[in-house]
Amino acid sequence: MNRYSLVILVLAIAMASMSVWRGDWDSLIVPVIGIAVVLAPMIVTGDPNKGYDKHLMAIAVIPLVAFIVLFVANLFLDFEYYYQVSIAIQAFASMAFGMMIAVFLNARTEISLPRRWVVVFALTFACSISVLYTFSTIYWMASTGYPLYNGDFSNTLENDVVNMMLMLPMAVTTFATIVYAVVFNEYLKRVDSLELSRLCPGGEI
Amino acid sequence: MKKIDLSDLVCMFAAAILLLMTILSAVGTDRTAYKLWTGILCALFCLIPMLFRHAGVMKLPLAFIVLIEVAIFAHAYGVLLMRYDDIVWYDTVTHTFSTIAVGLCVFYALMAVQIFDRKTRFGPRWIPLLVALIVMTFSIYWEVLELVVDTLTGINMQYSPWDTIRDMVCNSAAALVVTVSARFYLKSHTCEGFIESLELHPSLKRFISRRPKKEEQPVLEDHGSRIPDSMDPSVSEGIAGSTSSATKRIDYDSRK
Repeated sequence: MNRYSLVILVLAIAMASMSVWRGDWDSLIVPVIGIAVVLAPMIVTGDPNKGYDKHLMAIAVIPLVAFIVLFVANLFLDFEYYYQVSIAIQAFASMAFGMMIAVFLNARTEISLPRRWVVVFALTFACSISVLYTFSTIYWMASTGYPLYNGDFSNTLENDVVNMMLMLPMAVTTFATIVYAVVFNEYLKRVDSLELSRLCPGGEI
Repeated sequence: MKKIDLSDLVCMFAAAILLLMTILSAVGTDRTAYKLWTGILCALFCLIPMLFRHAGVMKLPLAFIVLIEVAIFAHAYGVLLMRYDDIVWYDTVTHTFSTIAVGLCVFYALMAVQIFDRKTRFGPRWIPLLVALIVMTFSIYWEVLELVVDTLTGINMQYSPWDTIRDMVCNSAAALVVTVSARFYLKSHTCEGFIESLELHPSLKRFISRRPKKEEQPVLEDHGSRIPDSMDPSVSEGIAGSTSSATKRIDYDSRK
């Protein structure tokens, strides 16, 4: 197994373990996707060295490390905006894994996505994942007794506050992914377009 | 000047009714500026398919135009006559219609890219997946826009969390409908036939193909042939060996 794949797997397992420990099941989605995306080339080809371009794998490491650092720091410092930052980091990871999925599709199917479409695919993938957080949030709100229905609210302000709680994952992801898309689009200009169309053999670090 | 056809009549009829409703609302009721502007803008939007056809930008299918008009009309009608407030399921209906219309727009756009952009190929099996992802993203953008407008202006576009979730469920269901329809459509049709029927303007074709104006007109062709798979033994050799690697690179570049 190439080193980047191994690092991503270890970090994703660590992130998943932290999520399970805290009972934060939403945060389990991203590491599970990450593990699946990294293992997919190996499983499909039967070659344990198969992975993605090193530039792609490198940017997937960043959010995983950031999440772990944030999680540990929050245990001691109890950040006020922990949830928002955590969602933004997970959106970063979702986009990185989305780009890998696009490369995987480029390599294994009739799809041929150039750089900009790889970024668009990653952006839409990350946004679609955030919908899952929203469905999970409404379940949590319903089970903890928050007002949910039109008749439950006496004024607009109260409505806005509760709506904001529900919309937070989608809102943060929307704005964060637009910024990431611009950055990734510039970053991927460094990557040979051929590398976005094939799975890379191991050892290309 | 192109002749007025049935699709133009549909557009003009919808726009005229909406304008009339807006005027009546302005005169006889205490509707806010937001509601009146919604009526006016929706009436103008109703004319866009007709304007596109007469300007030679594109010629949309009649069924699709009817769907667009119904979606726009239903929204404006709901705002002007307070149906969003009075009828619980009204929002559900408008969201579903609108998402289907947006989904079809995305589907048509992807087919056009598939045909004209020689660097990009989606393939009939994967266009539906992209349609689903893009439509879901648009529906998220819409909900976030509602949240931003509510926060900045103090009006109440998002009635409650339940309303928001119901919108998202409707959008997801509508995205699924378009995705499945697109899959079935592409099983028995090609992209070329449909895109040709749209009679796209040459500038629009050039924009989609991302070619400078000096270059030749984009050719209508479906890039359906399969990419050399990097896992195929022949290509794997290309990746492993330097000489063959160059060959693989040339193969890839020749696709552009």
